[in-house]
Amino acid sequence: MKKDRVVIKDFVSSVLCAGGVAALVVMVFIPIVMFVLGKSISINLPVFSVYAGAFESVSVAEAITHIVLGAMVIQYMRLYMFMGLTRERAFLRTMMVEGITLIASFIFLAFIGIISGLFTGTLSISSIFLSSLYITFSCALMFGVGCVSSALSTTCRPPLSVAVVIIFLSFMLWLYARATNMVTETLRLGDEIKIILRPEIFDGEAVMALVFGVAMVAISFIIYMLPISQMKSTSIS
Amino acid sequence: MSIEVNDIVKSFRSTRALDGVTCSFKKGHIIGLLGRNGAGKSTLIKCIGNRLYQDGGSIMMDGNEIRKSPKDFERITMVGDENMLPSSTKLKNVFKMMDDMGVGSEEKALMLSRKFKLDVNRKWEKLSTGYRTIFKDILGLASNREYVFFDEPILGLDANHRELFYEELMAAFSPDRCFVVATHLIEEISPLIDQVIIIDQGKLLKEGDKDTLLSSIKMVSGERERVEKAIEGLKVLSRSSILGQAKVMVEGEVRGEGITVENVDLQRYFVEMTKDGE
Repeated sequence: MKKDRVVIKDFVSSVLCAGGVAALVVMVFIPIVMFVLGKSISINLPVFSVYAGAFESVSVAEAITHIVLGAMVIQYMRLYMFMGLTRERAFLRTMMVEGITLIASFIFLAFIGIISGLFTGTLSISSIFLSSLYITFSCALMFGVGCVSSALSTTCRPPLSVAVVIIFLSFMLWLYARATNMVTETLRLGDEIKIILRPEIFDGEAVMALVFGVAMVAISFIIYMLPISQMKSTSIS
Repeated sequence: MSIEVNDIVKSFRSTRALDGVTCSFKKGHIIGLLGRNGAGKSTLIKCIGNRLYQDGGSIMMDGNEIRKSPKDFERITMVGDENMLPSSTKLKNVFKMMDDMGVGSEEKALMLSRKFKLDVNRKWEKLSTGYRTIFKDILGLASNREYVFFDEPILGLDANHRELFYEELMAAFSPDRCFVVATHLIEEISPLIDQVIIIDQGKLLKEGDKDTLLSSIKMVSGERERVEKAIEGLKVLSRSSILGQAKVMVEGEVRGEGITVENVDLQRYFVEMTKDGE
């Protein structure tokens, strides 16, 4: 872990800063504005009611940060490769760091959930932990989206790479939407082979998000291993 | 104890960047990897460094394929011409990571930063072209790896910084290491290197000991007929003539009267060997 502390610091500080800013805006800035506004018009506005939306706001910030981190995977892989790791190991190491970051996101979300629950008087620890877990799974999906777009960018140049990324992500999101709304489906592959997909395979959208996130990370790995994948980047000159 | 590049081929669509290059990088040498723009130097280094996958051929280190041998790969440091850092990372953190991962010494990197007057509290994205090069050079110089590849290490550096880089390069070198320097400033790097690999249009033109190579190359000039007589049977590398006078670069011992025979420096040799249309 000591070897990765610089990258872990980068990743974890990114999610904490993004979440922190979102929390600051919702939990400090907006209540102050409401308080001042209420005073000026002589009405007691329900200042702490905004805390009910704090968790959602922080969740959005976390998800966006994870998609950005996914897109930056290639840069950290390059850094690891400079440190003497092969491409495969650099990728796996970056994924390990992301795993730690997801745990940090989960803890931060739970913390925000507890704070907002305390202020709104709706504190339910089990519900907060479950919600935090689901959002963390969604963050994994977002990271997968960023990660796959980062990997695809090593295979061809814009505008082709952009088109490939859009097509791929559209397909994955279509698949995701289909999977989350799935009833029992049978896929026939020829006369003999049929695959039956049952909705109970996946326990709701959150698990689906995690499955898709992991799947996209796996696809990214395969893309990085393709002969056409180039880890070179913009020249410094 | 070497990196062996065997018949390596790499194409980018219709452009063949490397066309069957075979060469080796042995320990105990500072090797100049020379070539014109687009010759394939950086592509070769990137293939060795796993940034690019070659289409054909193999890259071996002590008998093992580098790509499949993480332990061997950890013996290489590659400072390329590319932006290899996350833009928001502070330089001192990269030095710290280098130390943590056993690539090199943070202390030495900080000492070199002071010498080059590089502010380590800055972020990569805020650096000028010259200081980006300096930063990457420091990473290479502070590395403790056996094989260090410098791709364009003096790009954008002023004369003072270039001198300092050469000094530090010599100080960091030891017989159990191999430094490879890919550069266009041949005249400056020539006194430092003892081996040379010249690539042109994706093909290996020459590989070998610099002094041995240059001792066999002569520039013969004088009256055309006398020159032609003197170089009979020798390998002609380049030839020019005007108004009955000829100037020929040959490989081998030259004997004759009424002609001028001069030694050739590396830059002259390189220019003649890689001239367009030759």
